[in-house]
Amino acid sequence: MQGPEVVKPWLEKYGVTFPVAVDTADVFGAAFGLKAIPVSFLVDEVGIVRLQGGGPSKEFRAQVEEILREPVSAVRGGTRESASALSLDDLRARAARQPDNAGARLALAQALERAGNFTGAVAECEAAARAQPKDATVPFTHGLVLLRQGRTNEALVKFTAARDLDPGNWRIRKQIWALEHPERFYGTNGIDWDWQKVRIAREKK
Amino acid sequence: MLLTRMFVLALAALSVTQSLAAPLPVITRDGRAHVAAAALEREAGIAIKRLPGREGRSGFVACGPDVCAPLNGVLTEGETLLVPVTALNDASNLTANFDDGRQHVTFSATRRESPSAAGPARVGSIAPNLRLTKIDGSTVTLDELRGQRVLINSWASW
Repeated sequence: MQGPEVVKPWLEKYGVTFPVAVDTADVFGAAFGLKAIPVSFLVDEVGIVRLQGGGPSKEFRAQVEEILREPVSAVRGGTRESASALSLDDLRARAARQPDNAGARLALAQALERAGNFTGAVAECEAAARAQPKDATVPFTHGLVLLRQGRTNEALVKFTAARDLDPGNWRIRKQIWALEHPERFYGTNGIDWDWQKVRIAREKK
Repeated sequence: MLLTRMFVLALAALSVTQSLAAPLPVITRDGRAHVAAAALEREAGIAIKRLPGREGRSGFVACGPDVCAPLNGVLTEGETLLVPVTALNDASNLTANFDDGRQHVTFSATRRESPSAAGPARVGSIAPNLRLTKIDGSTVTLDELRGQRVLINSWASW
């Protein structure tokens, strides 16, 4: 159970008013190199990443409040380009120019996924994997696209490959757990945290 | 599935230099020349920002339109931040030029290309201009939110 259909009832229940994005192709996760979640970042008015935090904590809250008390700076930092902001046509042209550039192929895969072209996205993930077989973000994204197509078993194969390339990445591990043991995540009692503690202890060895 | 709540290749230096605005008053502490962060921002377009939770050497960052770099040795006097001139030289593309009496300093900048998105984003660097798809299907980029403080919280249904 993933994606907007899971999120919407939760947002209604809690009356969420802030904008919510669903990162179905892991654009945010890959750009910030996330190894575990929850995670928070504060980006200031200049565009600087000022803070990183984990789950809710008094310390993080105090640090956020410290930044909010500062006078607002008039300076605007330069743009740090992200392929996710480019158009599909630009990404297609770039991938055609650099067919062996895994990053260009993966960025195109993410844009195709965004556009609902899952078949095209899978093909680009496969091309990225040929260009860069050691990068865990490639099979992770590939698995996410397969999940969007309902191809759960094939997705699990890709997530497992991603885990083997990046064993310290707990996002990949938890994604695998949720698929293998949905009853521990989506049962009537919600997420089984005790079960997760046991898994974490076992997999840390 | 990840849900996101919205709330450096080598820099190729180009040989274009320009002087930046007015001379800034030099403030001497422990025999070293400093400038006030507020004056630096106003006259040179360089913002000096503290990174809470990171004390010591990497506790501050200097960011302008072209550069964003760690800054060492910043002094705090009440609300005033004093930036060592030598640290600015080290951190940014600014070159300091003192007047005869070392009462004032002007900065000249060497223009550099914008940093490209090499490696993951991290604290103290400019956030990449990500485009994210909101729950209603519309998209938003981080650069569209410049000028505001944005808290991004990422969580999952697992």
